[in-house]
Amino acid sequence: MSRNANRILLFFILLLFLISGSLFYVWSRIQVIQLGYEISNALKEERALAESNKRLRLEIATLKSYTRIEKFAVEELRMTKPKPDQVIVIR
Amino acid sequence: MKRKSINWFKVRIIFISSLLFFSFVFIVGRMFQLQVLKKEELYQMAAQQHQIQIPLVAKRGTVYDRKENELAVSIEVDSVYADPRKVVDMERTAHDLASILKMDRKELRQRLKSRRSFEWIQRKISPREASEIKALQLPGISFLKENRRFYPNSQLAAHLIGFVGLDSKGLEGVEFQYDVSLNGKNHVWTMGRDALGREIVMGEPLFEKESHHKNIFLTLDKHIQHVVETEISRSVQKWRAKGGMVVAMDPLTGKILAMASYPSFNPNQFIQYPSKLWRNRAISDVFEPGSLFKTFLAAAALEEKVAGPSDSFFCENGSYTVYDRTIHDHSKHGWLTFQQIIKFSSNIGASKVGEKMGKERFYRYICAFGFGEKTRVDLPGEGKGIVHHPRYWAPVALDTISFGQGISVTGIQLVAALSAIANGGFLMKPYVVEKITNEKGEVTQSFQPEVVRRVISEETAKKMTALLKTTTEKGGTGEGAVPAGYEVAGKTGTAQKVEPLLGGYSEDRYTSGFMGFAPAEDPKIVLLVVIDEPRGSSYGGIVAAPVFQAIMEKVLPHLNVLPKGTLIVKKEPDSTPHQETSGTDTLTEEVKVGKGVERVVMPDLTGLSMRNALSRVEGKGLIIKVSGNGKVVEQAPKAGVVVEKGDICYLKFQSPS
Repeated sequence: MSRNANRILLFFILLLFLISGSLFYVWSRIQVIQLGYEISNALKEERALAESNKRLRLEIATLKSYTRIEKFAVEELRMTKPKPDQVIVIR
Repeated sequence: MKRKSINWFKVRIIFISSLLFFSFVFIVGRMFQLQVLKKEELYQMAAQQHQIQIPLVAKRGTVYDRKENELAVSIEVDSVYADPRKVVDMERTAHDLASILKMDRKELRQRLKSRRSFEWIQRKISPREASEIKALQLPGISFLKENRRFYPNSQLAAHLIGFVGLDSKGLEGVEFQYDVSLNGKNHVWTMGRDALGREIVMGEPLFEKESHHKNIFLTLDKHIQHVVETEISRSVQKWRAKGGMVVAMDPLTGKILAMASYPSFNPNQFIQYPSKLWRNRAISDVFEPGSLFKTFLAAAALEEKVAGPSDSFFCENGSYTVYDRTIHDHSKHGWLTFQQIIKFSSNIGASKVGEKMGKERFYRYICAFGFGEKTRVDLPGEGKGIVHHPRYWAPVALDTISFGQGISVTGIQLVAALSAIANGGFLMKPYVVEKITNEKGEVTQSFQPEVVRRVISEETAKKMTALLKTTTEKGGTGEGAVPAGYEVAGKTGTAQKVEPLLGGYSEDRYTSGFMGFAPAEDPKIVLLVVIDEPRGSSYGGIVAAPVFQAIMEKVLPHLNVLPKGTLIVKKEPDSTPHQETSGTDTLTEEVKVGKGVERVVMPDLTGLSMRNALSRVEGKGLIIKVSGNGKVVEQAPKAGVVVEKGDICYLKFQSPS
């Protein structure tokens, strides 16, 4: 009798292992797929960010154009070039 | 006879067996067909359904100046196209697109009527336009990513950098010359796709592979280029000239620091400018150098010891007939020394030096200085000038070539040749690209200074420098080229232009030029200024020399060459942190002043701020030592004491608090 009970117990334990193992496998596959989506989104985002970074750099370069800065300095801020005797060089 | 009974059981078995057998053969055959014969095709079909292919447009590298300022940048923009078969409401689509893109509606309608499945609407549109069109969600209208080239500094160095066409192909300048390096490769980014068409990464994520585009760093200096362009445009406008050009080079290395042609164009919209403005005059235009060329005659004469600086030549009082031609001077001269011939730029004097030199010898030096051959500056469209072999020279040619008539050169040749005088005798190969890096920033190729040949000895170069300095001294033709506080060696040039139709030389069309280097004793920059057909005056000393002066005045301090008399204050890390003072008055230690000779009386400086005190003693030639900061509390020597150049003056500062 007790031998039979042991067998049934063993059977159920094995079944439990089997079920939990399968469930774990399915869960891990779902995780992999989920991560796949996340990676693909992240890659896309990275590309978009790199592009917008480049765009911003271009904007900086455009704003740093000497023609533009000189125009600002001379016309709006009324700056002039210093005469040689007005220059003191600090080293 | 009893008929043999049919064993139906056996028949059924045979029937079923053969049925199974044939089914099996059929299945195997079909499998063979699918798995072996049609394998490739089916694999591809599956891949198309499982995977999404994102075409990545080739990146194009950035062009930088030598201080890593961006000069040409590519960024991704949208290009809009239509699939006319899928367009629903053509009238509305045409109307909307035309108003956003500012296009002709008729032409647009024509394109939308097309039966093709792909029709460009407009390429490389602005992000704003793209988002406006996307918002409308027009059926049949889609977008593609393409790279667009931007030149953030607009017209700056447009001729040298060049531009690219619609298909990212370099068409001019560095963009053309280094097109292969700059352009990356097109490639496709493959990603998995689920049943709904969403992208998903399965297995190894495919990261973006290297696109193999390279970045180019020029030898150009954005600051110098800006100064040069501003000044040349100002001058061309002032003299209502046809055009102008400037080339600046580092004589020791051959690095081109600036190169400008005027009128210029904006490479962002190059198509709106006439194509003749795209030409880089500095390397492709050949012109007669006029008196500028006397420099090289003089160098050859000194090297060959044909004439020394103090040898005298009779300048025929301004009119000298050789064969059938009469040579004139701008002003009449009698006897002039060789030095004076260069200083006053006498044509007759130069002719006589040339005659003494002889055809063959002079020709040898003309070639040695690099005239008549390309300088191999790495830019497209370089001219090599016109230098004939003495065998073909007319009898008078030796005389005229001596003062730069009957020979044609390019701007870059002149600059390279003058650099050989400035740097002690070496002809350097001019170059515009300093290094090429890959996308990670690792240098893949770097360019080093390259000596073409030694042209003259160091001694001759020194003598030439002294000779060219007299030109910019008082009374010389290039007087106006000297910025205050510097020494310049240079030469003016005024050349009559050749009349292409009539033959002979024009009476009213000139090329005015000035070329020189500064500082004369330790040259940091060689500069050539040429103004094409100025009106009002034509003399190089009046038209081109002031441009030279204006450019040098701004460029030399940038190259760390300060004019004489500049106050240089050494700033020490503040050793007295407890003394909190404001602004610029935290100067300590030493001051050097380097101008003035006479004895002067020491002024009273007590109570003055550092700036005021220093400007009071500036120019007296004193060596000034300062300590502390704030206002002057103590000075030595005391006020009223007579001091001399080179005396040491101590100033003690203390802040009022």
